[in-house]
Amino acid sequence: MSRPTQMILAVDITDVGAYPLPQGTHPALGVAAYRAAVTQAAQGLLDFVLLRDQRVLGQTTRIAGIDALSMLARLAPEIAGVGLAVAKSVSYTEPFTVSRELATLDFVSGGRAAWLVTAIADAAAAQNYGELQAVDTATRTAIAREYIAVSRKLWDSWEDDAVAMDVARGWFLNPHKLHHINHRGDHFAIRGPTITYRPPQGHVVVIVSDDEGVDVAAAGADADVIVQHHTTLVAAQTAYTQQQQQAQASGRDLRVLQRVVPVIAPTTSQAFARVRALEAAAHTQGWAFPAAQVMAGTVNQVADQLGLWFHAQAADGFVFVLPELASDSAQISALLVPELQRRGLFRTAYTGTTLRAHLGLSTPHNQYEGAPSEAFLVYEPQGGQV
Amino acid sequence: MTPRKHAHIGVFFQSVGYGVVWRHPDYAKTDVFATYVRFAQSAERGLLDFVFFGEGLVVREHRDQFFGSIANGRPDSLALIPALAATTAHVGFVATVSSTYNQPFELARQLASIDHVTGGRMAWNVVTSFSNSLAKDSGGDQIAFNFSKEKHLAHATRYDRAREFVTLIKRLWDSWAPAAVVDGQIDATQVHAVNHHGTWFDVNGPLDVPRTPQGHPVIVQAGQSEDGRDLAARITDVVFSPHRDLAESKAYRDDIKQRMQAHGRDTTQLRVLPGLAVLVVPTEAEAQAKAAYYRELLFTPAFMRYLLSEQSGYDFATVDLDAPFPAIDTNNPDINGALIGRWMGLSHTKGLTVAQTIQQALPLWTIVGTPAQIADHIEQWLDAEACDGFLLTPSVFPNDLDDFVDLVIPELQRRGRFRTAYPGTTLRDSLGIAAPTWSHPVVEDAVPHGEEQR
Repeated sequence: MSRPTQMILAVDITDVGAYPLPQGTHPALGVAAYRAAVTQAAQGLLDFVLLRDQRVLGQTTRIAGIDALSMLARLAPEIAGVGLAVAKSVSYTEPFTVSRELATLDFVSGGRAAWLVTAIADAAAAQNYGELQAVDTATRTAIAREYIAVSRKLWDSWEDDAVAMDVARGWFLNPHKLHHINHRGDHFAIRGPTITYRPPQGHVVVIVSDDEGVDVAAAGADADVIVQHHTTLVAAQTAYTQQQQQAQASGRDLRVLQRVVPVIAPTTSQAFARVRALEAAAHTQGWAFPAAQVMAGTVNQVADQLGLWFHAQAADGFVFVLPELASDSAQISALLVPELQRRGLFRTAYTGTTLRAHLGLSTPHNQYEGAPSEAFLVYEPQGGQV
Repeated sequence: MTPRKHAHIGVFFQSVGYGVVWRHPDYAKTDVFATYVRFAQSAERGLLDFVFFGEGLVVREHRDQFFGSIANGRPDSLALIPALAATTAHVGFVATVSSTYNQPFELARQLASIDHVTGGRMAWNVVTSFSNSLAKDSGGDQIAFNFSKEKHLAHATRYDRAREFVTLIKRLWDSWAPAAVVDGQIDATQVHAVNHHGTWFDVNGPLDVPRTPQGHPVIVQAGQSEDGRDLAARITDVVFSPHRDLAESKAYRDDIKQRMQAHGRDTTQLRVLPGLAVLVVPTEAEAQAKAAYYRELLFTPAFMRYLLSEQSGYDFATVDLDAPFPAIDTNNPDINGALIGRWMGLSHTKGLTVAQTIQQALPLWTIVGTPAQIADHIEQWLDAEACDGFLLTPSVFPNDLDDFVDLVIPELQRRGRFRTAYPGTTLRDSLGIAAPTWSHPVVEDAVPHGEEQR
């Protein structure tokens, strides 16, 4: 599939924003806050929202975590259109369980689920799972890659039409359409099949990001979407070209997104003054800057920069990391999206219902389609006839 | 006069296994989200306490082969329930999740998160993933094969793990003191590590999710074995039991309460809910016809061969179902000789065919009756202190749940045996079970998490 003519836009709704809050404030967020953020994104026709898991209460953690999948599953029936990307850890969890939870998020959202593949990289988090230290990046990446491959096998282990409910033949399931995956790898041995239906999207959209404990250069080869940060346009172009060539060579569709902090103000100088204020506050509080490209200016100037990166083939789109989620996401929907629409760079309506449709990604072919039927039991004479 | 005891009623979503009459023309497809929404909303219309979802960690095979006749497949409960919460306001949710194939920290944060996003309507049915089949092809090791393990854990070992698992999960839920969140703001000095180092788990904590609306999500268990009863008495708020005999159910409930007392727990804080396989008919005249129709849908020749073979381990593929029971060597170590022996005895004593025998041996319903008859049954059990209510297992969804909600619930309400409105917002409110009082998650050397970091 060719490169889309319009950019992909997503927003990271984790936390209350990427920059420090006034000192001494530590809000505990509930459903209402997330509902507002997801609704805002849906009104802006964004491709997806991204919700991370915050597993350790450290000195820099300002808010309590609510499990990302639980939260977005809660909001899925209420808010249509926008895709729902949730973090799910490959560390100390089971592919059989996690693949099923993700398939179910896809089920309850009508095909809008994405999986942000995460690995536990710090000791404090590992110590909640009986380990003293996290494993190294290479091991985490190897686990993630096998985990993704196994999950795709499990999603394929029921073909789309496995649930037959064929009264005449006596079949609830069509036993031709179920498959043991018999996976044996370095980290997992899984027989399968899974116990839930194939996700509406075939496979949940798999996102690999450069800030989630795995090496994108390796694990990106297994992803549908890569999210990353490059500090220069040239570096982003180089990475983009290489990643897309690699995907093309293996016959896959891939979307590559850059993380961006958009800082929009009525005038250029106001925008840069805000950037300086944010950086000063972060510095004062010992806060880590988000690993994202800051694009500051008027709404036209920010749209110019996004357009430049998009046309220069540095990215297929962007994941916005917002300084203050509540106020800045309103700006995205009210100001930036309309400007990009005027330029023909962004959709003016959702044209499909699934996240794959938004992203222009096709439904994956089922790797077991046409595989020989496995042994199944026939107790009725007509049961074996296809 | 003391007020009449009210019933607590939950309903099981029958989707996998042989309780399902999926051949019924009205059977709602289980691979459609709207079916689950309708289920939860039907239960809420009836003011039921909760809806309950089971778990099975393998596609049930039969004699090592796929078998198309049994209903299979279900969404994951932990991902489904938050979505159902968006479509309901009061009904509670019980998810069955294995303590054998999960990690306590991961599950603690999921269950706590779901309690938050459902507004305090979450319950966890603790299972250790056993196989209920005595036949050779029991699913035990097949479950292990889906989790990179060679062998399923032995029964006693699973319960040992479960005890530590649940104790630890409760501590993690206590790692946020009630004062840790005030007016939506977090006070980190009220968040505590758990520093658990046990036989099975080493977990530092604290949990990354605040204390939940219910304090702890409700804990449910269905322990029948010695280990199971012990676990139930230690940890559970609600017990599911399989008893269809009033005296047995009463004895079971008394036993659990006695064990609770031995553990220093308040016995008023327990709800024992036996299964109620109920078929509601508007008038008694319709009972026989409806039951016969369901039997016909369920007991196809293929399905009877499956049941006979699955339960006994003997291959009934070619046995004549309309003849008397064949002579089978009950000493064969590869089969369940005791069960086959009982079936043979039943067939010979009563002169039954194989088909009639299996249908007699597997009573489908506790009660088939009119709303008044079912209400009588419920009142009798409540007054005998044999239970605190029931777990419904309707045969066909939506019909049989709707019949219960529309016909039996009003009858119970007229008799003063069931609520006419939800008493509060949480599942604990509906069950009448108090939120647990908070205790520091580390009993000795309690150090607030905030101080440790300095």
